Amino acid sequence: MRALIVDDSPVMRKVVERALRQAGLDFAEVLQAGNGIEALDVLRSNPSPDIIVSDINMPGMDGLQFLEQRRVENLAPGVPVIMITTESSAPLVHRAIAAGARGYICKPFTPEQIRARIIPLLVRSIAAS
Amino acid sequence: MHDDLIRQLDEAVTEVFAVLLNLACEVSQPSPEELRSQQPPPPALTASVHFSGLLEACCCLQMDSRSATEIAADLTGLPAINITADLSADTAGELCNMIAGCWKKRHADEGASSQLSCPIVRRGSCHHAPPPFRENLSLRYQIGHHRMTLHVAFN
Repeated sequence: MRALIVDDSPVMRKVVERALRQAGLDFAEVLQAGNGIEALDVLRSNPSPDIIVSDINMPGMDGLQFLEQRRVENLAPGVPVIMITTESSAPLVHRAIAAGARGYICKPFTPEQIRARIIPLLVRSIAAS
Repeated sequence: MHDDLIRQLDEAVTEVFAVLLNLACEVSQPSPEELRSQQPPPPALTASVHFSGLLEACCCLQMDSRSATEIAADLTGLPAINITADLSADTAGELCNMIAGCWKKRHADEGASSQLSCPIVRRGSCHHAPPPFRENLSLRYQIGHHRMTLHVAFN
């Protein structure tokens, strides 16, 4: 399995990667990007990941713009995207879901919360493919 | 009003460290030496996050580099020796960001119509609230063996 983690904070990328690995998920590769622009480049130049975990509030291109551009370019269609962010307001959650996010986790989070949200999405995604 | 604000900030700081690191948070009192000198020890890292929209505020977290390094190591699982100065600074920024986010969600209406900036981290104790803010609060916390100060400026 492969994951793409998008966050402008290197520490949060490590924290999410650690949570994914602690969940017992066998990721052969965890790709990383510091904002939406880098994430689009990763998707254009690599095989599709099995899951994308993205922050919203990032400089350059934020997580919502990344989702919208991903849809325009039809990059990694069908790959579930989970948003992990400090922004928890309902309008923002609705915008993220409308832009294609399949789940939403608020920071701060525990590894258990990551596991509870991501494993069901991965199982469905792998079964569908 | 300040009592409510202080309670919300205490809750926000407590939530961040309890969830992330299972650490308890206590309001910290200045040491006798600090009271005598009226000068807190200079922090090495100052992280700030600005609110825009209905909430006009600035949240600023000050901590020493050693605490930031140790917290980064605990969060990432990396040995402290592998935590670079940039990762320590990034950790201070993310902690400030999460505290600001937890505080924001405690303001139901204003919070929903406000946005957080990306965190900015400076090395040193330079904390300058932008001039338009009318109110300032400074709160000190002891989290595990780490000490940090939270400044909030707002209208």
